[in-house]
Amino acid sequence: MRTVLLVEDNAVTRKLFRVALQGAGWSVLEAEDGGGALALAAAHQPALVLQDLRLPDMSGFELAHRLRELPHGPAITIIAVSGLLSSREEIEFASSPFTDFIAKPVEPSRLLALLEGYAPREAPASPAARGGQRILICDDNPDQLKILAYRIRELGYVVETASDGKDGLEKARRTRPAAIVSDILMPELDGFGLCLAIRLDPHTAAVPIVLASSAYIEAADRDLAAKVGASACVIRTPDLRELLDALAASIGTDTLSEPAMPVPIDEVAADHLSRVVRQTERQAAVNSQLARRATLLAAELAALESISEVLGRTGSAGPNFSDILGHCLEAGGVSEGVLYLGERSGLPPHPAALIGFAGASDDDIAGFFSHPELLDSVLTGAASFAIPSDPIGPDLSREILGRAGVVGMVAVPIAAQGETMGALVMGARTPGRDREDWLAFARTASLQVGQALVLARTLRQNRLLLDSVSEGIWGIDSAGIITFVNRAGADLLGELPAKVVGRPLHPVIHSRCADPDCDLARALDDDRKAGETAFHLASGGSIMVEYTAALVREGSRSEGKVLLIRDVTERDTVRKLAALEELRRQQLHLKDQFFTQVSHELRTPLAAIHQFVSILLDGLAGPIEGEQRQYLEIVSRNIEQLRGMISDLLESGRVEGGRAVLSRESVSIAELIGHARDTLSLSAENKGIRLSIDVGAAPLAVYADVSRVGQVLTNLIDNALKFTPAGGDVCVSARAGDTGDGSVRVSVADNGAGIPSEELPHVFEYLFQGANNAAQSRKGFGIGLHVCKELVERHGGRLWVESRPGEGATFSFTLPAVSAEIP
Amino acid sequence: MSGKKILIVDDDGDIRLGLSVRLRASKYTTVFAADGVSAIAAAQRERPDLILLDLGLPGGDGFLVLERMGAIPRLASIPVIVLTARDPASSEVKAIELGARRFFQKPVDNDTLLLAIAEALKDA
Repeated sequence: MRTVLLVEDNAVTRKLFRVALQGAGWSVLEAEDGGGALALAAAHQPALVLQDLRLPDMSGFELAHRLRELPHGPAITIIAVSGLLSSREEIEFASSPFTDFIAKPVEPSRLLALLEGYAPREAPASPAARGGQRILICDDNPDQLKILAYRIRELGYVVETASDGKDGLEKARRTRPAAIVSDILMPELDGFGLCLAIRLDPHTAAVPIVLASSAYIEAADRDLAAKVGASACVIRTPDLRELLDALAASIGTDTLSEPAMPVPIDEVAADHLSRVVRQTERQAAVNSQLARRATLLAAELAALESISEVLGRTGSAGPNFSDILGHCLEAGGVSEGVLYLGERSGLPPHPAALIGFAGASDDDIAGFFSHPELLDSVLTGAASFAIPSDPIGPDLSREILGRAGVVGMVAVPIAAQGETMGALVMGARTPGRDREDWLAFARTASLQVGQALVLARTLRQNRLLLDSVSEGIWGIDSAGIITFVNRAGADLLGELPAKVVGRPLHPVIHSRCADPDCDLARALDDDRKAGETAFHLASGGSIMVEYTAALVREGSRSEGKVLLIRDVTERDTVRKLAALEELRRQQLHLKDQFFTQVSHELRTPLAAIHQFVSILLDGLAGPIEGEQRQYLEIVSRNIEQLRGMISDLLESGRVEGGRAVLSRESVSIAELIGHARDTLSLSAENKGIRLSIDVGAAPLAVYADVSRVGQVLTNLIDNALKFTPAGGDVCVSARAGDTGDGSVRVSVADNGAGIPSEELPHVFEYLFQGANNAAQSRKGFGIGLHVCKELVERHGGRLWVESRPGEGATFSFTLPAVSAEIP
Repeated sequence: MSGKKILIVDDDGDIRLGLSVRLRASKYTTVFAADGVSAIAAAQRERPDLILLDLGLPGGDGFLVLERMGAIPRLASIPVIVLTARDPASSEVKAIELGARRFFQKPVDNDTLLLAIAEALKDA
């Protein structure tokens, strides 16, 4: 495949060229500066180099010189891409290291046609035919010398080079070449002088000489060349065609046994001098003009590049047209301008940006100074015009310039991808601009603007697409810096895209992670990896995300990666809750089993102890006396306590495990309280505590599990008795509830020690042991009140406690009325 | 009541002895079995007037004993009182359905047990 090296620091232009070249079957190497270009050229030896004149690290001329210094450098076709060179200046380029140049704006078709002309040629059909013939080349420009030597050597000749006329004369006398090719303008001895000297030396008089000039050749130059005996005098064009043809023709005349006898030198001296002066003057003029143009070009290109930079800053609101127009005007060195954008639908173009034209009204601007047809011609015909100019005519020109308040104007279409999108109009307040130059510049600028608009439109479309996706999409460059994030991607973190782009990825999504090489960072570093992880939010929380990381490749080169991110916090939470619920269920089951088993295993030995103690106490094993009986009774009392605790244990497991199925019926609360009183009255009596009941006059019925509510009542009364000293009071009361829905409130009040305020919130907690409790003779597991609360709540009621230390405690619970529907 | 024969079925020797002492004090005669199979055999052999039956037994648990005895006409009429460490919530209903007269969880109050035995014998 044919390879071309593209050297251009403007990414937009580079892309434009690349697409065109690749489409035509070229393999394209790209460099954005001279250093990169040299490295690529050395590595790949491209036959063609297409290079910008202005590069970030060196001038285009310097790059071309250094390319020529490469081993295959002379063979490279180096084409400069520049703007605004007249055809005269093209000739000047021939004396530079460039093979040719192409002026901006560059249309792809023109570029391709040019490159085709320079495509590497087939090797000469029969180089052997010219084998061995020695050609002497004289040129003081080493680059030109090298190119010419290469081309001539390519044709099968043996080449000898000389760096000036004097050197050439010496070498010609020594080696007598088959032909001499010499530059006209050289130090020491110019081409005319060299030719004359060769002719005057009999040894070399017959050697054909081709004189070449990079500058203009006038008839007088040819006359002089003929007078001094040159075989031909040619212009040195970039393709060297005329020169090589002349060379071949001069050698072909191998019967040049009688060379034209040169006129004596004194006769041609005056002529010679004037020709040399003219050539020198022309060369100097071309050189100075070139320098000026190069400087101007550099400035203009720099300004044009900034249009692309403006585009790079394009936000969601679209490109800033005023900025773009401003850069165009700055580059063109004018102060007034309008950027018209036309609708594809055919609506009239509207001014998208306006700078200057202070004297013109809005209507003037919108209607192009009362001549909208001129603007239309630009948009529909994609043609440019300048004012004043012949096509516009002097009267119309005067009218428009008068309205606009400028001395000159140009208008060019803004087009890209075959579509005319608008027009760029520039106006100058001061005269002195070359119309054609200005138009050429305006076209160059409009090309940039067109590319910018297309790119902006593409970017906007892409952004719209990406912002419509509900997944987060993040672009990360190879250094780990976030280069892009769509709306959903930023929303995930609760950030604005602008606050995220440009920052390294890891600290953004893992802000509380100190390890830049953590698992997440490494996972995201893999070629292609999917997984789940937690992102840290700037607000402090975290979210669970599912991510897919994929490498972004261009050819074989990695350009970074793209991350697709979906918030799965909700799904994750549901899953976690389900897992937790299952774990809780299993734990409850285990606990239930444990309680059942423990209670079972404890009961058997307890039953044996209980039996034998009672046998002893009942005297079944013989009489027992005084102190023995007292101690056995202590054992017996503790057995009872143990039995109660084992029951609590089992009960707790049962209630917690949800196995306490309620068997409800309508029952009188007074009856239930009566049963509980019967069970505990003896205990109260033994402790010397008055146990009273107050259930009011009206009968109160509840819908409850008799045994469970009995259990609650017994437990609460038993507790009250436990914490009330001898001589105290425990009162169990029942009243209709405050809610008026027929519910009943039952309270168990004592006037004992009360509950310390710090313990009040905890008394119903599972396994809670009050500090005071430990001092009591009978200890518990801290299960009883917890179970009571569970049972009351299972009935749809509420259990609570009120207490002041030293003034006793009141435990109250509610039970639903008979009529209440309990689920 | 005196002289009635009671079969005590329990795999725990201490429990068997304790119950025996207690029952003999009330003039009952006691015989023993320590597992399910021996319990059936002992019931066939001894023809007790009442059986105190533990549920957790080796060689066929108390439920199996109840089931077998229910199926043997000569044994089906012997009143059985279940005396177990098991949770009544999970066992009582099943035991009663299989023919047990009463169900007590260990340790049981002696007076309660003796009263239940007396009632069961009176009904029989």
